[in-house]
Order: sequence, then structure tokens, then C-alpha cells
Amino acid sequence: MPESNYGEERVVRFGLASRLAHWSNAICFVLLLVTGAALVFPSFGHAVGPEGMRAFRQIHRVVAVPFAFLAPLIMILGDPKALGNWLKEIFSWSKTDLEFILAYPREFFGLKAKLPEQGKFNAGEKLNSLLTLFGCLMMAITGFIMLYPGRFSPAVVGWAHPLHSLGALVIGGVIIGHAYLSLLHPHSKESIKGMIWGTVSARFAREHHAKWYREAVKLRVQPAMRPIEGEEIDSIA
Amino acid sequence: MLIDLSKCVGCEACTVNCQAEWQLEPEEQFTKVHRYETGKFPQVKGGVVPTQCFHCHQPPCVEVCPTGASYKRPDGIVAIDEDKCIGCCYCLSACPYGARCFDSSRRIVRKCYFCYPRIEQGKEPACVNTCMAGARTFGDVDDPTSAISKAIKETKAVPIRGTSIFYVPSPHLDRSFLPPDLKEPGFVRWWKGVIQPGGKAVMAAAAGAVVVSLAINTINKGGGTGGDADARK
Repeated sequence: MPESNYGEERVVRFGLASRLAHWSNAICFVLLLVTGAALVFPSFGHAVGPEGMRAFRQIHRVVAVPFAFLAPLIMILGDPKALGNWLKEIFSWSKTDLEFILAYPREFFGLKAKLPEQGKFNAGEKLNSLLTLFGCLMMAITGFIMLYPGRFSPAVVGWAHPLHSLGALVIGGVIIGHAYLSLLHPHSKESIKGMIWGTVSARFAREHHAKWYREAVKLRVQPAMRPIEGEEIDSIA
Repeated sequence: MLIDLSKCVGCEACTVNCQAEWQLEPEEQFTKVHRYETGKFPQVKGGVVPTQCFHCHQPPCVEVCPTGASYKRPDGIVAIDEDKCIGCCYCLSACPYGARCFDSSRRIVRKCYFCYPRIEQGKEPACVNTCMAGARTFGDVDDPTSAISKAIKETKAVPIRGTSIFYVPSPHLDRSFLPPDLKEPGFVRWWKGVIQPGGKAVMAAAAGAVVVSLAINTINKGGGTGGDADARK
């Protein structure tokens, strides 16, 4: 179907710093996940072989540094305001957010769903952000402990290992869903454009983030462009 | 192995001969001699306790090794396939006895192997061979007729339960100075028994949900939400 159905009007959703931070975090995390997975999935480790796994270990240790520092740095130096807004949004939860989370699985599986109006980040995106934020923090801290075991007590080093595995596998699961929703899910594919080019179509903004859209365009739209009845759809992308 | 602390003089020849046998760096020690003092001046007593890999019956290091490099041989010796080791050091934190060391030049983990290459040639381990006090006895504890089994009986040696090491306590140091019985660190069971299978299940559930959703959406062509679904592709 032609994209033009969305209309030509675009709404700015993510600034350059947000997008750079997102993709630096994404690239680092995927590299870390793949190189670490060889230790968790024996068949994968076998396929890679000892030499490959030693190379993975080196990559894992090198990429750990930009993973821990690059994205936060880009946001703090590049766009502290956007960082503040994001943090403020993902920590403010209301009853409608809960309603959204409860209704969302139906939408996810392509069934009819009635989703409450959302702000700039819908409840799913907030949940994804929180899991990513705390997950990455946990990975960075436990990873640091594993890099410098001499500085910590044996019990701390010991428990860092299972926590590191737990974080990796849980965020790995989150990322599978996240990538699917942004790339393939028919109702939320538009959001990937926001994270690549910075803008989404006005129509997508209206239908998926009505509260934010009204803020963003200060009700510039004509009444004719109201969302279609019963069509409050959203994504966790 | 039986270590008789009533005979050991703490000369550390075992440490040095082991280092020579395995060509270790000075900071790498497969067997260490720990020194203890107890009491208050002027009633002070002291003693020494050598330790090394305890060759556990159910070794936590083997449990956590992701590559299968750490393994237990049929004869009970815990060994490391140095070609398979990738130096992740999981075993280092799983070992309750701190018996493993990291070889920083080769980036692998190594430890006491009970000198199995020597044993296979019918020789004694290097530490046993060099002990001038005759404090160390090596042999098959499962064979009741072996010299070590007789020595354990005679000296009423204390077994470190769950491991292959026995001590004759020193006259000056009570049992509390000996290494503890094997207790698998709590995190090992959580990690291997709960967290990893659980985490894999979370990941599999996410992948499964995606596949199901993809299938439904493909069949419906993004439908199920009314007529304009196609328009919102």
C-alpha cells in the first residue's frame, strides 16, 4: 500500500542526539548480546569454536565501554532537555497506562483492541524504556564487577554472574519484541521512521500519540483530520 | 591425597616444585601454603595448611564452565582442556577454595591437575615427590588396600567432605583451621538451575509471540481492526 495514505505532513518526534544515542546503544547491545550468547547457548558456542569465542570475549570487553558511556554521554551533552523529558515521561504512570498495557496484547496479535489515548511515549514504550534503562544499568554494573573481580568480595563477584545472565536474556527478549514492532508489525512500522529520520507522519502521530500530537502541533490540524472512530491503535516499538 | 599437618614444616618446596613442573610464573601457584597463628602472647601456637585444587566429587567449576574446558576425568581428577578454555573466569568465582589461577600471558585458567601426566607414567605428583617431611601421600582412596587408605585409617585423617583431600590436623591447630567441606556457592545453583533456564524461556516466549503475531497479521493482512487496516500499512 502506498505510504501517501499517511498524508504528507510530518511531525518531528526525535532530535539528532536522541537518534544517535538510540542507535549507538542498539548497535553496542546487539554486539554484546551476540558475543555473550556463545556462553549461554552451548550449541552456538560449539559452532563458533574456542578461537571464535576468544575473539568474542575481546569484542565483548571492548564494546562494553561505548555501551556503558556513549549513549548517556550523547544525551547529556547533546540534548539534556530531551533526556529530561524522556525520563520524566517514563516514570510517570497513570491508570490509562495500565489500561493500555492490559489491552495491548490483543492489538499485538492483530485482534480488535480499544487503546486509550497516549502521550509522546505510549505505556508500552515507557515499559520498554524502563526495562532498557534499568537493564543496561544492571548489565554495566555487573559487567564492571566481572571485569575487575579483584576489587570486590567473592560473594559479590559470584552473584554478578547470574544477574548478568538474567539481564542479558530478559533484555534480549524485550529487544526481540521491540525490533519486531518497529520493523514488521503493520500498525507500528511508521515509528521506525521517527527513529531514523526524526519525523513521523502527522496521521500516525494523531492516531498513536493523540495527547502528544495535540501538544506538538498546538491544535494546528483542521477538524477534518480527526482520528477514525474506534481506531486508537498503538505500538510498543 | 592425604596431607599430614603433623609432619608438614611449611617449607613450600611443594609450591616451588609444582611451579617448576608446570612452568608457572612466580605469582601462579597451584598449591599454596597458608600460615596461621592462634592464641595470645605468650601462649602462641602456629601452624601451616597447604591447599590446592580439592578435585571435588561434584565440582562447581565444571558446573559453570560454558565451554566444557573444565571436566572431571573418569579417575576423579578435575582437569582443564587448555585448548577449550577461553578465559571467561566463571570457574574462578565458582571455586569455593580459590584454587584456580589465571594465566595472564595465555589468557586461560589453570590449576593443580594432581600431575596426571606423571601419574600416567607411574610417578607421584611433583608436590608429593619433593616433600622432604613426607607429609603428602597420593593414591587411590577407593582401594582399601592402597597405602593412602591404610594411612588415612591409621592417622584418623579428617576427610574434607565432597572432595578428594584428607588432612591429619596439626597438633597446634584444630579442625576450624582446615578448609571447609565442599559447599557449592549459592549463586551457582540459582544461575544454572533457575536464572538461565528462566531467562531462555523469556526469550523464547518473546520470539514465539512475535512468530504468532506475524502469522496472524500476515493472514489478516494487518486486519482485525476494521476496514482501513490496509491504509495504515
